[in-house]
Amino acid sequence: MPVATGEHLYGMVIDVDKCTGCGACSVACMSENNIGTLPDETDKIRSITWLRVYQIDNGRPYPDTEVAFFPRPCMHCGGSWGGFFQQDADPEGHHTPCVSVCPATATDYDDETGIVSQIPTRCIGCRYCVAACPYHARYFNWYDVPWPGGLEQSLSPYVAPRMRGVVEKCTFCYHRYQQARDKEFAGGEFGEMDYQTACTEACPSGAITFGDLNNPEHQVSKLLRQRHKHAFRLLERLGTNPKVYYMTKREWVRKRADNYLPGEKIHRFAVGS
Amino acid sequence: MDWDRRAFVKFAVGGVTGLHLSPLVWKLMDDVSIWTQNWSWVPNPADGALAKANSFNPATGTAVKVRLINSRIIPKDAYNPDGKAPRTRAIRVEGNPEYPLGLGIGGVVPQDASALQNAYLGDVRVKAPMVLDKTTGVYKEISWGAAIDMVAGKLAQLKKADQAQRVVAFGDNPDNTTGQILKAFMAAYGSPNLAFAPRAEDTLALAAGLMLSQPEIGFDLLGAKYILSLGTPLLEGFGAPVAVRAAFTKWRQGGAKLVQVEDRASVTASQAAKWVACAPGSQGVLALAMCQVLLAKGLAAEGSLNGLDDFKALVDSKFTPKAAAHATGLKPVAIEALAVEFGQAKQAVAVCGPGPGNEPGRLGDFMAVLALNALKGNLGKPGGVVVRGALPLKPLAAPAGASAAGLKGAARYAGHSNPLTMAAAALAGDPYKPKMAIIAGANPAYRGPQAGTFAKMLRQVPFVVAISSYLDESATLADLLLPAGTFLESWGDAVTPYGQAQASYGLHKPLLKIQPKSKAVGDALLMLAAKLGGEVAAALPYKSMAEALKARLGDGFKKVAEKGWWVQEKVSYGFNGSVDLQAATIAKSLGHQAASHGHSLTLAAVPSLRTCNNSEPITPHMIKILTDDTLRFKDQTVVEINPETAKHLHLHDGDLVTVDSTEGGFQARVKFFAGARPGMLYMPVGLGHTAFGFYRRGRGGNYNAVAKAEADAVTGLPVWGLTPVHVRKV
Amino acid sequence: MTEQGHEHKRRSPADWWLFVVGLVLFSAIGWVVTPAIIYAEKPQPLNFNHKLHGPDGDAGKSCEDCHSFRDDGSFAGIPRVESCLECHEEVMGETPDEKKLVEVYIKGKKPIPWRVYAKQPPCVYFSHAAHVKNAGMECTECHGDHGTTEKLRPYQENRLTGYSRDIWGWAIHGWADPPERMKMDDCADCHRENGVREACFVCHK
Repeated sequence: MPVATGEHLYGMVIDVDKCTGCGACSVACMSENNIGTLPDETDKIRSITWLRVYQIDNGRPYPDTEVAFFPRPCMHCGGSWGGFFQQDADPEGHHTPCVSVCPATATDYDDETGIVSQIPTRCIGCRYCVAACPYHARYFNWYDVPWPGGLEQSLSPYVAPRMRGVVEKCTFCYHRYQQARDKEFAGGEFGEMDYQTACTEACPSGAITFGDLNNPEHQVSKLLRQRHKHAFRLLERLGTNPKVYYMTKREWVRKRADNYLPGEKIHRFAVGS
Repeated sequence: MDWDRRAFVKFAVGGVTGLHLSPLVWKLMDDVSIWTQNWSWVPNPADGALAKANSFNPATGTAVKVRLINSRIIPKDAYNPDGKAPRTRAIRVEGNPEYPLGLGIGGVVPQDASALQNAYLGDVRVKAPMVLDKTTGVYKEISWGAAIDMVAGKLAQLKKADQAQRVVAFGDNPDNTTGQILKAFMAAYGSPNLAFAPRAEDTLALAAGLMLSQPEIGFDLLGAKYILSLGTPLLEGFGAPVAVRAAFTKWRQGGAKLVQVEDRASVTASQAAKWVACAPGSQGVLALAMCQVLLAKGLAAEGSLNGLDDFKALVDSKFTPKAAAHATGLKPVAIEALAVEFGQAKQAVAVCGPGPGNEPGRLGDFMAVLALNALKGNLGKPGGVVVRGALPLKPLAAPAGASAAGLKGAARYAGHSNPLTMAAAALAGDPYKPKMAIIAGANPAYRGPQAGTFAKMLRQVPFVVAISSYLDESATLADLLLPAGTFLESWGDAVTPYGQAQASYGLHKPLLKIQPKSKAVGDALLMLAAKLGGEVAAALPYKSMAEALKARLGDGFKKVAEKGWWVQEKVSYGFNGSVDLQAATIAKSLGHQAASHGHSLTLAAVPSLRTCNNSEPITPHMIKILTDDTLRFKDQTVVEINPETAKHLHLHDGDLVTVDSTEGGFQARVKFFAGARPGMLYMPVGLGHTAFGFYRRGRGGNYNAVAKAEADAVTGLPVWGLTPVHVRKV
Repeated sequence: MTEQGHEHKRRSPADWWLFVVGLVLFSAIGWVVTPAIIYAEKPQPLNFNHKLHGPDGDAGKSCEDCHSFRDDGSFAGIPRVESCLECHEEVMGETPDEKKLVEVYIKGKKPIPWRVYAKQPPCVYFSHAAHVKNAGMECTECHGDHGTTEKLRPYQENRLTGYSRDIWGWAIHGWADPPERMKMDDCADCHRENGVREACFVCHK
């Protein structure tokens, strides 16, 4: 179960059976968050994609082959859920893998929203967090990103562009939370739809749902209640307690979500709030 | 007291201590640390009031909203080439949730989400009219007026010499207003040599016109409960991808069944309830075999179908499940079971469609699928094949006399509207060599068919005019470049995408001035028409593209321009026409099946929304989302091969190979993929540009340049979905 | 000989006054030159008379007429030149500043390159709505009372960092009551005192 200490607990539910791997989420994220393009993007160790879409297949021969996709944002791990390897973890504190190792406090876990931050200007570039993250969700800026020929005009003022030598990652479009709060302060409503991530909006098949896991009225909570049998998280047995849930009816997809041995039984963890 | 060493040390120590008692040192230390946090070369985007404007991306058929920032303060390091800092800029293109065909999801495809990159990346934009100095090979900027004078002068000269037919033109889409203007222009000028990028829309319209006497048909995907997709890339770029995905979401929620007939374990095949792995290019045969089963088992719909006896005779003799087993690679029992399932399903529709890159496909395949639908009896029914309503558009107003005279002029010469035969005839000089080429908002030298042949033709034409937004493959072969605006900068429209049940129309308007000298393609043609005068000017009596659109849309213009789209309110059900099964035509088109040419492998392109292959190029952000399964080591295309096939060819996973067809070749990395059909080789389509700057140039191979196009036996339209190739290990 | 070598010369404790002189002198120099050598005074493009435009002036505008919140809750800050255009289509008064406004910026359709006193680095997200609308703070608490001034106060730019003097604060000693500085520690202090969230993403973007 996610750690619920604060007011909100933002999370995501991705329906793998609806995802067609088109990459709209990934590209929408790049344009929303000022992610640039390096001259050589086939070098995946240095390429930055906050939300990467992984392709998997069931490994069976023709014509029984099937493919599926895992869109992978930052999991915003709550940590300390006492998983497979952390039977006696502290249930009150957080042990988010990246946050716990940062020597510069450039990343923290926000108790009010459950969002793991990343402050590039504070980052010293040691890449300890990159190594600690089991999801490869953190990226190091090996180079300054070029914005040639007027490309910088398309940059959004709501997200600060990063410089070389720092780490960056998905923020669940936190600036949209800030904007939604501003709207609320100015007399508007802060509804479920007022804070949605760019990838959620962009998905043409509606595979991504985003919202407050603490709010039973939000679509994410409803989905997890209704379809808890189909829900799972990536590498659940590490006990990182991610807030990004996946859903599928296909057993083989679920099996690919963790490092199971051939013939090993799938662990089913209680899901839903 | 002596001013000795000790005294000085005391004074100095006192001084240093004193200095540290003042804020100076501490402040400086703080400032230095802040200074190290300043990265002057990292852009600081200007803030401002946010506004959203509606638009429509004609390349993808997505209704979009553009986020605009109206800045008050311009950062001092802002890109500002002409000294006037632009204050309105777009920061994002996102979906329009109000678009009815998106079912409120408001999604986009990668090409929409990164459309700004194509528009803003100035290095590859055509910025001003430019003429090539042939002696030095350098482009020189000229004014619009001078450029139009130059083109009009050449056109008038050729016309005077009675050589109007020697002007060839190439457009992108014949159905939108720009295409209509180009058509009227060429007709009035008097050249029959006008070709457009071949599309599956043309094949479907021909098939539907022949069989249903209704060229404008669509598949009611939203109403269907059982969807049999015969080789269509439903989830990889079919029609308007956003609308198709919305329908897919509805199927998922409503429990509709999707059956995919395809040769490769594609995304659609994987997301389908059932994947029928048939041989590539055998969908038409399978459809006919299914028709045979429906007729034999009495599952065919009651109703009058013209030519049913001929059709029965055809399928009974040549397309029984047993006979089709060889061509399709399916067991007769499987074909029968599929046919029975389809015949018994409620609200079932069989969908035929474009090959990769909207490749037109064979007429026989399309007709076979339409016959299957007719036998299913779903014509005009919910979840079936429906006739689309009309668009709220008037035709381009041309004075009757002028237009007819122009057409008469064009008809005097033999010409080509088929790009494949046009290029071939031009290269052979049969019966004449073109003297001038006009490329209007298209890129035939990249997109094909047989891109290489077209590029070769352009190199031989003495004067090539390209009206283009980008310095693309075709524009770099031009002698005169005219800057066209992207959809964010200019007026333009888009008509109903392929196979959509409801008629729809998209309109985009100038929201930004990114390249201030750019004009809509239509505007350039209208300026040219006005300059030429005479019949041409009379055929196109509009001052601008905006005016032409206003005239076509009438009173509805304002509303459509504001919203960016118009959609037929409801699917129009009911079909009261007659159906003619046209067995002879089907037999003729399918009779010329391309057999294996004794080559080792057959190359097929894999369509994907990550590597778009439409009128707009792939964007830098889309290059980022290509995985190692598509592009590796900077510039190597990845080709998929079945591990069993590879074993026979002594290839290993990750081997570097050359892939060669009769048209060209490229280097590629081999990737083992169990979902690839044995005997096949699959490559992405939409890569391998030879233009478009350092992000895109030379990234992988271009399928369109390697593919060998064949003419359909009936329509003569080029088909280039499958190409025999040789693979050699490097 | 050896004894002579070890003989100390008597030292006067009065020598220490040199230490004190050095201490006082350099400390004084440090205090005097500190802002001057670190900050460069930069002119604003033109003077703006807040008093004249304000509620008690000729124009009779309220503060919110120009410094407004947008509908989405974001704060517009300094108005665009379009707002000036509403009245100043032609020159109305006699000041050279107004003449410059009309001729250079309004007719030239150029934005006025104001130097913003409270400009923060790009990584900072400051929500005016949260402080003004939600917490009920007065604008003057941070920006001072310049709504009634006739002249814009001098803008000082840090020679090293390029940031405004307002960020560091105008008090040379570095503290003032109420706090007038706008550095991260100051934000954090105030948030801590008032029990407001302190997570990184509250103020960073």
